[in-house]
Amino acid sequence: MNRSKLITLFIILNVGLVIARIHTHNRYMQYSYKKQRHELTKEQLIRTKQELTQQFLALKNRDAIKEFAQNELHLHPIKLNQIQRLPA
Amino acid sequence: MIDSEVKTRLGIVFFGFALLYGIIMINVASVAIWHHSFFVHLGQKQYQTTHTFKPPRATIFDRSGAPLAINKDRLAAFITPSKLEQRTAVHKFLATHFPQALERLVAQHDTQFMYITRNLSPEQIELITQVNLPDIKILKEPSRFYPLLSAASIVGFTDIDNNGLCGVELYKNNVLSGVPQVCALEKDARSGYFHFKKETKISGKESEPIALTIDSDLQFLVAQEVAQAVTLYQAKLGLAIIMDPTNGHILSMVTIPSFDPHNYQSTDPELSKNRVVSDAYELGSVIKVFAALAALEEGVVTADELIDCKNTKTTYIDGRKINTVHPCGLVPFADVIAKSNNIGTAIVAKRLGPKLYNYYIRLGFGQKTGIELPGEHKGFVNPPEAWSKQSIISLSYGYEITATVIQLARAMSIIANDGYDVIPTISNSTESHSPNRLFKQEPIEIIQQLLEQTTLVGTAKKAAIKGYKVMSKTGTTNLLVNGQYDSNKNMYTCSGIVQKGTYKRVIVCLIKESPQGGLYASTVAAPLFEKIAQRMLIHDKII
Repeated sequence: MNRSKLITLFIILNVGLVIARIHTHNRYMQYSYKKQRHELTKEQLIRTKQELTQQFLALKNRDAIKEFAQNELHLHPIKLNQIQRLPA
Repeated sequence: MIDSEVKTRLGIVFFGFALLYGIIMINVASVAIWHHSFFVHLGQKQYQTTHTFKPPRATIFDRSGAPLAINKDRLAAFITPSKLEQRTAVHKFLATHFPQALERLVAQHDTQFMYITRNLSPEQIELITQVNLPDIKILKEPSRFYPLLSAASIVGFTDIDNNGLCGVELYKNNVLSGVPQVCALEKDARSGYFHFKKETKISGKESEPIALTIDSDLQFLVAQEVAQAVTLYQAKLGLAIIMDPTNGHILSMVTIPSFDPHNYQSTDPELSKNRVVSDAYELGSVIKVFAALAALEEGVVTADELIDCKNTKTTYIDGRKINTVHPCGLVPFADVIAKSNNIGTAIVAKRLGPKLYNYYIRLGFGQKTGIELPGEHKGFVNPPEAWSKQSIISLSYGYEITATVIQLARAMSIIANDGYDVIPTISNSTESHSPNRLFKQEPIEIIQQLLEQTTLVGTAKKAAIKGYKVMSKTGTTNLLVNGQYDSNKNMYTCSGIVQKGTYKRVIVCLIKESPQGGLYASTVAAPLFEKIAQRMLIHDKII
């Protein structure tokens, strides 16, 4: 192999390595952005979940349920003497 | 001639270029060498930023995993005073709806950021949406939502910056809030959302959820019962606690009146106290049980020893006057306690002398229980060196000794736990301590029988529940007003143990200051005890 071919090969190899490095960096950036986008989505979903949980718990308000049971359904708290254990 | 002219011109041009080159080189040296750090800093400022990542505040759960405190976003309105586009319109809007914000804006007209108001109400959000001014922006801020209002005095609440202000929120603030992480970010020029590089400067710590021993359903049921009693007797205060004596778990802890933790700004700070742990009272006759336990443990009396209670409502011991509500004559010591006779109890306590103080300390009075809540009161037991002739008499039936309701529950738990020590806790961790035996088995068994007797035929009859072993004691005390005991201002207490097989629970309830006359603990606190116990037994399916 003569000298000029060696130089050409050396230059091509270097250019190839530079391109590979740029490609690797681009892929890294691409995945980094993707990860950050997913993190943002996750954060938003957590906020939504939080909001829905809060609404759900607000609906489960025991005072309101008790008021409804007593006023609308005319239910009363039970006493121990109203409960009987059936024989096995 | 021409040659010399060309040479001169060439010289001038060369000199000009050399000068320019020199200027450029000096500038380069100035930027790269002399002002190196300044320009490096300037460059970094353009693409690097420091960001603090605050972990979300952790959830507080009850013993079954039901949430007691969760995160919730709330809205805040803000402006950037130095960059207002429609200053006049903003001023006009603030003058009408947020005059305080306008005052601040006038004073801080050149600042970068100013809150109009935080924690916006739905009406305020509607106002801001309708006016549609681009200068007024909305910001989401973290806050808390508390699903169980009756647990407000236990769970507490956070301030506008989400820092715990009372209750568990304050006591466990560091655990719940975690430690923020500080990172250096290399910004993306195209988008404010993304970064190239992230370097951790200060490593933070994730917040940790907390599980309490509180049972949400039981807490609600007990709060309902106490609230009903407070309303019925027009009382100033109602307290109750349910404790598992085998492991010290607090299942319910109620203070009535309570408060709404979502509107704590408009709440009287006194209402936010958890008085089960923060207030110590002279508890009266409920303390007799512990004086009796001390006497039995010390061997100065037996349950069947006959004690002469003088068959009178008023007598004198060592020249000191003693009153009792239930007079009796020559009766066994067991009856002295069952009938809650002050005279008989004082006679036996005198045999103990200063040792009574040591027994009260052994039972946990006069010292904090170590409950994981802020503001715990340690109570007070008058030490022998400060005693007067009256002290031993007063101490035997619950005066000159102040205790919190949780201390009383702990002392009662020691009896329920066969003389072994119990440490009250609201932290539902798996840690367990090997308990120390504080009292011998025999006196404990006698006291348990004595308490059962008090419930069946004594002053706590109304606390009895058919089919269950109830061991309880009541106490009515006069409240101290301006250094004098006021017989019109009373406090009614009932503390006891409910047992069926291996199932054991300690209940203490207290009603303070009713304007109604002729009331006693046996008619106020004992029925409340029974109602709480019924609810608890049905809830726990102990049928």
